[in-house]
Amino acid sequence: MNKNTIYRILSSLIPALVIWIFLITQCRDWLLQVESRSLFLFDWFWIKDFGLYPSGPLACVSQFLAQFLHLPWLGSLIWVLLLTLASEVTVKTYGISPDRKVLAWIPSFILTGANISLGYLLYIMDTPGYFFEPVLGYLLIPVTVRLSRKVPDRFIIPAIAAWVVVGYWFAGYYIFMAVLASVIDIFRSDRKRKFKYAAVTTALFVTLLSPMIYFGLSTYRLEAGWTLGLPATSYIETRARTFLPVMAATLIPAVIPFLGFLRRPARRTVLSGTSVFAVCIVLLYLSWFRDVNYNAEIRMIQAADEMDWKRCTRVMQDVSRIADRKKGYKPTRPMVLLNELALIKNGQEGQTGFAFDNGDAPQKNSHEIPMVLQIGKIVYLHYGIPGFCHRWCLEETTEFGWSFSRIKYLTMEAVTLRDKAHALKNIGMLEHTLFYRKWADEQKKIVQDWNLTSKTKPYDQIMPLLCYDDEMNDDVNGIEYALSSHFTGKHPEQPTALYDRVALYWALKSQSSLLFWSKFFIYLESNNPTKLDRHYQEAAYLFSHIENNEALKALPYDKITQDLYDSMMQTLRKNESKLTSLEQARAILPNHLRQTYYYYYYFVRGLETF
Amino acid sequence: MKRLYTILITALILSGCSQVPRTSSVSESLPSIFPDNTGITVPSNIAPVNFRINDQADRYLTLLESPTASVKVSGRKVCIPRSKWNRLKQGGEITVTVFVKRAGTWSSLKSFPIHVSSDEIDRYISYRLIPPLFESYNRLSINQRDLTSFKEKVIYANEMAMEDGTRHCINCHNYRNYKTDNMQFHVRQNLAGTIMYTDGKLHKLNLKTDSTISAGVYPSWHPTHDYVAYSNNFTFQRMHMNYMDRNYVLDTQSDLILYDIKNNAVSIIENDPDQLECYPSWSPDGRTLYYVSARDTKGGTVRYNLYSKPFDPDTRAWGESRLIINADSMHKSVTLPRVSPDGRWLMVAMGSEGVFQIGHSESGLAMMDLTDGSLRLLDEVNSPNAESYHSWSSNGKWIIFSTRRDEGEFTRLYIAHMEENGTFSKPFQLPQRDPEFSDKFLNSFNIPEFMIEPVRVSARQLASFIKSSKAENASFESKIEQ
Repeated sequence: MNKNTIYRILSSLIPALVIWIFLITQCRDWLLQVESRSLFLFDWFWIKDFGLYPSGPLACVSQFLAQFLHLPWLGSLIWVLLLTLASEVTVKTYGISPDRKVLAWIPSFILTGANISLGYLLYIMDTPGYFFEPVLGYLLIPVTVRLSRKVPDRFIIPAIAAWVVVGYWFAGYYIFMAVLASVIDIFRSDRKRKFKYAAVTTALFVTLLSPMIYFGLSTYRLEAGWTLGLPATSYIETRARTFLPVMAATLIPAVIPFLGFLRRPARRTVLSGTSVFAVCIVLLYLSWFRDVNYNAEIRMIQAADEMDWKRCTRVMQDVSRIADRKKGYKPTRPMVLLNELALIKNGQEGQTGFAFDNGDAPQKNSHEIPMVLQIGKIVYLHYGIPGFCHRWCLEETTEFGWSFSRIKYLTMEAVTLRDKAHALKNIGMLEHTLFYRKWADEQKKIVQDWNLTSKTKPYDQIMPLLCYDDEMNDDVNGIEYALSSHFTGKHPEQPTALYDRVALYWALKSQSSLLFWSKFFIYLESNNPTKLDRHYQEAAYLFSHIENNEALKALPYDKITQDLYDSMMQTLRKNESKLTSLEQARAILPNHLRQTYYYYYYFVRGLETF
Repeated sequence: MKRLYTILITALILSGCSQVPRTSSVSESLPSIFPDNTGITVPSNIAPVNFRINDQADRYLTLLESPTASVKVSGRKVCIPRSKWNRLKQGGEITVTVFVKRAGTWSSLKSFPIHVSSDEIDRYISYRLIPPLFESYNRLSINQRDLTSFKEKVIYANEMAMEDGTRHCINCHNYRNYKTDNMQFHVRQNLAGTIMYTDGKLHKLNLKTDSTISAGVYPSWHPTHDYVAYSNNFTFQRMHMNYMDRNYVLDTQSDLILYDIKNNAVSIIENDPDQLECYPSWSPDGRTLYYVSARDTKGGTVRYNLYSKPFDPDTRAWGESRLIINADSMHKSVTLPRVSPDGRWLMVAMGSEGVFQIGHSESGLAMMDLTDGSLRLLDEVNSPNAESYHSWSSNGKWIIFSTRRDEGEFTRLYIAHMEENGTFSKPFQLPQRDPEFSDKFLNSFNIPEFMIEPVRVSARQLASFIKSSKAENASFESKIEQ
């Protein structure tokens, strides 16, 4: 085996391997979120609807494949196999010199980049097949070119016409690109001139006609007919970001015939190949949406979906470590809220709830997405407000379609409300899935024996929070407002110890001494703690001093509680003359003081939620 | 050779035919089927009422017999071929027997009847298909269904005219006298207007004037004159935090207006600032307007009573409103009054409170005999879950209504036959080709309206009109001093 042969093999293997390793090591949780936002039901009733609109069948295949992202190694393996296939078929179709094989990977790198650059658009994608659809669509292009070469001259016109009409229903936009590449290929072939012109004319005519044919049979807009199948959100301003990379990748096969050098052997095979490959890797890395907060949010959402609360907190801790190094770093509100929820689930909110960075960093997103559409269903379910969880599952569903995750949350909220019919409806859907069937069976057992809710995750920690009387309310699209008014408002007549704990934490968050004391004594009575958690001591110590309440000042506070308070006051007094703003005051405080309720009370103000 | 083929083909056909099995036992219990079609009464022109057998068994065979035909259907899903169904129906009463095979032995379950009424049902209905939504909306459509078959057609889907990045809601389709030569529906938000089809022409109207609180909302076409009565509403929703009924729709303000089509003018019918008036509905002669009204409790419990208001269509003169059902005194709320075409019966949706009964599981249908004023809950029709929007067929023999009886979340349509004595037969679900449709369909049906003919304008015509036209402003004509 000579050097070049080894290079040719490696030029297929290495890009695939690099992309695969990149996806499973860097994007594991992101892939799981992509999967949880998709849906595939093994149910003909559901599948047949894909046949109702052009590109629906391709979306169906894509959604079928997307479910394998449930096992990120498998889903991403399918992805790279499809990329490899796409590059191999491109090489074969256009006779690209084996030495330059790596160039055929350019569309694959672009398509991978298109997916991993989505960032916050992931939350609002409303073309459910968006992950695999572009690569499947791309594959159709070289395949079409190859097939067209096998068609005799006299059949070329009906073949193009039939292929466009049928293909448009199957693949939408991608069939136009396939026909464009085929027509260029036909034009450069040695077919008779009259057939070449006939092919071009037919292709043009049928391409214009196809959307109109289906337009009469469907309910889409004619203008949308040209881009059906491309990844999109409902918002026009995001179209360039989702359309352009895929359009660029699918245009490449039409350009290849004009690049004659691709068919010639390379003089410096390894060098040129390696440099192209290196450029692709760099571009791939650059296109990856690497924002620290976004990636932390995705990991935290995934951890919350798995109810792995320790991991959720760990992510926040990891980011906090970075925060120490990066001046001015702030987490986003979804991060803070998810972390607090995780701490409550772990019973650590009183000890460490205010030790984490708190902030309202804006999300790096050109299109603002309300926080409630990102984490509403998770937060409301686990805080014991199933009605709101239900509402946001359905708002998301209405906006972006049914998904594994939304059906799961709908099931869980129905179980918490002991709404058997509704729970069974959702379980029935999940029974038709590949990876959620087992989970659905477990839920079915709970529905048949409600007593299991007290022993089963997550209900064991949700049901005690449902001790309040139902009331009608609205979260006015603000999670924090809704949770705060729920837990700091009217206290249930028969609260549980867990409810009292959570209410006390939210009272602390409110920075109101009045609310704190009212919830504090209820908490002491129901939870009867042997030792008061650190932040509760800090709050009691702080408010007793502010109010100069001698009796409360005399509570048995830990020495560290008093020391931290004294230390903060001393530091502030010492620098009193230099301090002209809250920002300056924040900056002079050492880390250990920033991790106290004192700091939260005095310095965390005016956070903007959304 | 030819003979051999004939024998083989005949054998093949015969082997495919299901024979009624010899049973070793006969069960006294009815089969569990979905939809529950046991003992229902169906119109003579309805599509097959297919169903699924819920009982567990290895094999299933269903025998449907009537004096005119006999049909055997094997399998768990009982889908009756349309031609055979039509033959069966001619016999007047169909007896259905389900045979199940368990552990190698066939047994038959107790037979049940399907009564076929000679009263025909209007051939078409229309409804809106919507996801079970709260505030967001995306794709919605108003569809038309041929009840004699399973054919469904989109009257208009909002995505047909949705401009990039914008959306619009569609609602409140309504027809005059069950015919489609006069019809309307509303487009909200983007491209907004009331889309009215009259005299073979489409109009887009803005019924909001400086003197009214909103554009037209819930409509009722006058049966003889060119008027449409509307409510004007400011509506919002609240969510239950911890209860199975998920949302609660309420009005903060509402009035009634009359739209004069010929003069493109709006006038006030009722606008008492302390009252919330809603759901206008004409009597068949057009001389009385029924509506509901509640005291505005500013956030407290709201209960609607039913009123009638005399009207002279020629002079457009209104009489004094009269209280017809004092629901509040019964701690009830009545909505959606609809008078039967013969003018005798008045049906309402009745719940414990509120204006939007489909969100209240305890709500059901009630009916008043207008000859003696007696009111009764329709127990034979109602379920433990919500019943709400209802319409009479043009011959007054059938009602169609929306209900969440199947699983509480998705609204489905049921039909019931009115018997001679003013009671109703057991309701049956709007027939579907696939009996599992209702289990799996992820949209709700709402506002079922009977029509005797299909809609005359195509969906594309409507889309193009909605996109290209500007709403004509209605003028404000007069104000009745209260």
